[in-house]
Amino acid sequence: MRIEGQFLFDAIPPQAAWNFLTGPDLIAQCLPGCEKLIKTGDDTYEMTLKIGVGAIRGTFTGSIRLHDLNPISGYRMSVTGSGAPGFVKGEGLIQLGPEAGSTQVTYSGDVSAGGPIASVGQRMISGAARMVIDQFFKCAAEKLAG
Amino acid sequence: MKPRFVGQPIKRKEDPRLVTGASAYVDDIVLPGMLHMAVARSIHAHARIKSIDTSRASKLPGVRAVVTGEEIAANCGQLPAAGDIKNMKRPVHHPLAVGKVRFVGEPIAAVLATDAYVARDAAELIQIDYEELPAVTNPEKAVQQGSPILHEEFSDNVAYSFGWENGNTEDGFSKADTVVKQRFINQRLAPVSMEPRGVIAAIRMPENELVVWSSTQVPHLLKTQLGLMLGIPENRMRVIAPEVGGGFGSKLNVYAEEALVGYLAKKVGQPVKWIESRRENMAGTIHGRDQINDVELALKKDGTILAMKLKVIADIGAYYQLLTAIIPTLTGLLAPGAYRVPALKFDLVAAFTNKMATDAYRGAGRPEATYLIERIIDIAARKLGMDPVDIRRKNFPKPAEFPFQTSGGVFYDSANYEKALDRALEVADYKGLRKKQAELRKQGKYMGIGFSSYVEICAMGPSIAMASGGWESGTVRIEPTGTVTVSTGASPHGQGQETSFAQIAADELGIDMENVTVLHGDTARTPYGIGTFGSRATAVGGTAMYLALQDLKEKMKKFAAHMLETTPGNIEFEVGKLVMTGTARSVSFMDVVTSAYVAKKLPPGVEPGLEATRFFEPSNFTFPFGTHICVVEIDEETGEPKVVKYVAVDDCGNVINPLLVEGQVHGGIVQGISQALYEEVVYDENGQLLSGTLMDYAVPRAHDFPMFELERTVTPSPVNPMGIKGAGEAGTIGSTPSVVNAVVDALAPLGVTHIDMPLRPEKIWKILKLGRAS
Repeated sequence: MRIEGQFLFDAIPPQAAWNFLTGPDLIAQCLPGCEKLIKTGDDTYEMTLKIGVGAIRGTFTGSIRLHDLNPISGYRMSVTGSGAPGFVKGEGLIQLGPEAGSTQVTYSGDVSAGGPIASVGQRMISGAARMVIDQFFKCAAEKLAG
Repeated sequence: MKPRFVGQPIKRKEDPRLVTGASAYVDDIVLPGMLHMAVARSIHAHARIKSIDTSRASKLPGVRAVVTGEEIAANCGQLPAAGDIKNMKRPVHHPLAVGKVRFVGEPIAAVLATDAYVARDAAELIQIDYEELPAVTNPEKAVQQGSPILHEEFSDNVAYSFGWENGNTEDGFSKADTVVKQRFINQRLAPVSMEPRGVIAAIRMPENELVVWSSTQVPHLLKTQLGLMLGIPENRMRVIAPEVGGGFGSKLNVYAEEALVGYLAKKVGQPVKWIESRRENMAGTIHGRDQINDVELALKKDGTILAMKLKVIADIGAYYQLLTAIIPTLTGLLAPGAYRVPALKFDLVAAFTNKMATDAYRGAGRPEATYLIERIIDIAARKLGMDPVDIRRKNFPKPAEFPFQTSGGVFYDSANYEKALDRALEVADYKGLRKKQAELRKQGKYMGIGFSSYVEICAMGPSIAMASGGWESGTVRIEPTGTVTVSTGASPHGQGQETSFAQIAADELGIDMENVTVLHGDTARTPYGIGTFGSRATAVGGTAMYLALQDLKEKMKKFAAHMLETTPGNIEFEVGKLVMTGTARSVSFMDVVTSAYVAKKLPPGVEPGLEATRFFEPSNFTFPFGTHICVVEIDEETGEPKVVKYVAVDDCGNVINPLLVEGQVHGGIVQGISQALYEEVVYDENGQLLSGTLMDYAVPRAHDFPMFELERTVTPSPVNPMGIKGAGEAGTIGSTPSVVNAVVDALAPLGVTHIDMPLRPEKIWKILKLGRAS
């Protein structure tokens, strides 16, 4: 399924936003349910994430790879994860644009899921993903502002 | 003797114990030392299993065993699949996957633990490393060159192809004034029995036998097949179907979990239980339907049918379950429906896809036939400008023509199709409905009237047409104190045969129903039998009991004649006694029973005791029929179709208990309407099951339906002595097309000729908006 959206980092210049969005420790602080995010190679990270959609809850382990990095204007991200609730795979594009001292982040991607998590609420997954993304950006904005 | 019970609306003997919770389903059974099984299942639709790591699961406290595919394949036979279709490809089908998985939910490993929660937790700790493969979920794409192949031992995904022609189809089409064509999608459905599946197995002494409690429709068949799979001699196997909370065909099978539970109980020497979760039920219990039907019908100007061509693509899923291969072939047998179709060409291709297997679901192959013929005849009527009633009437065979040989290759036993149609028209006030429709149309409202004059194949069946025998058994024992125990090889699971069989036995013997107990579902307490499915339990199983009752009556007459010093031909049964015809002389039922057991004055050549077993194999199927009329109104703002009136006139031959028949018809109509309007099993293009819970799969509720107006005509079947046709599936088979015909009729002013099921509001809403826009 397709996930896309925008987030405005108010009064935060693109360089600061870029640093945050590509920094594993910083991401780990703000990603809901993130229990572990360790760098395992160039721009590749191993991740443990606890998530729940409806009645399906559990821990996913997987990897995140950042690629096609184009500092401060954008990068691509590949995510794979699996666990008892099934599996998720995603491919996304994150773009940063300056906007009068602020940064507009535009994201778009395709996510697919399988196993119990797919059977329980394919319709709920995009909503749940949007909620997670939104929480992440809000948290990031607070940390950057603070 | 006038029947006192047969034909009466007697309340079910079964219900008090069910509504008070006094009885036991599989999950209510607890045995000392019982362990619990959980199953780890595939999350991918198609993948190679690179490795399975069970170490974390094994270490969880409480876990007793973890087994994977190799161990099971080495120690347990494959799952049985019936069908002797000539070019049928038979893939390997182990209870646990070996090397590869082919649908989401396929069992990969089983965990045994001291409680059900530990077992589930441990199953989640099993690490399965997959190599994903491309999946195919569309049956038409699956059989094309270049599709991912499910079973690599074969060159393609064509499970089998099959076909025949009766009559000269080309000749019919060449003489036609008009030809109508339509593709119908008969969507995949989930049976959703209220009780999911469940199994317990335990080795019991002193017999050293494996006792299996399973929520099944076919305990005897399961006993035979499980014994073969597990290498246990059949005389040391016992299967018990306790209370079974619905099946609808989904429990007419032999499942992997039944073999796994049996294997594990044998392996660890302790009882093992497995209870299916609803999510497992949606993914790993058989589905129904899933056919694409391309239909062409050739007609004369006056509506006379000349010939029909039917091409079926059946999506059978990844593997055969027990009757998977057979079900789509039934569609051809019934394709002519209630009409004279002089020629029929039937072509069927069954495709393997990365989905759960399809198999018998209430109607099983016949709803598809009824849907396609009842829809295409409506499409033809519209094209010819005929009333849907007139085109039906025109093509009905007349009552005197029965038994009627159809181009489906079967002989319909008996019928009066016009009588049922006329009664339905009268009950529904057809003329009044059309008048109302015209008025509503003037107001811009959408109301439709839909017909279905169905016929169906029941009372399965003659053995020649059945995979493992089409007969049934019945034992009747009159005990020394005069009570009567009937045991049947059929295995009722909600149909109420404890009541209807007691009605028959009580009337035949002139005793009260309270004195009759009906046993079923336990292979150690009943004669070997086939099971309950295909609307057969009363017409075939009831007949076996009826024949055993006749044997006992003949024997009792000999005793009575001996006591009254006359000949058995002069003895008749009355309530509580046997009388000498035309006299006041009689002996009580109880005195005859006593005389048979004390056996001091036996009639010459007569053995003591009063017990008889008979097996009945019918010479033909039976063919119940009827007409259903559905009236729908469509909300023009939301597109929601609402069934506002439903009239069903069914003919299931002679009726033992009208309450039971009405119950069957009610439930059947609900399931049939639900296919038309709500239900659909959905897999995405990657083979992920999207309708995996009851939040995502639409099961109807009582408020979705109006009160049904039910009537009957009675045309006895000549196939069995009681003239019964069977009523278990007719409601489902008859109802679906009447609903779709009604919705299409409602939308006809917009030029709509067909909409595929389920008729969700959004589909209709789009038509309404586009229709109004154009």
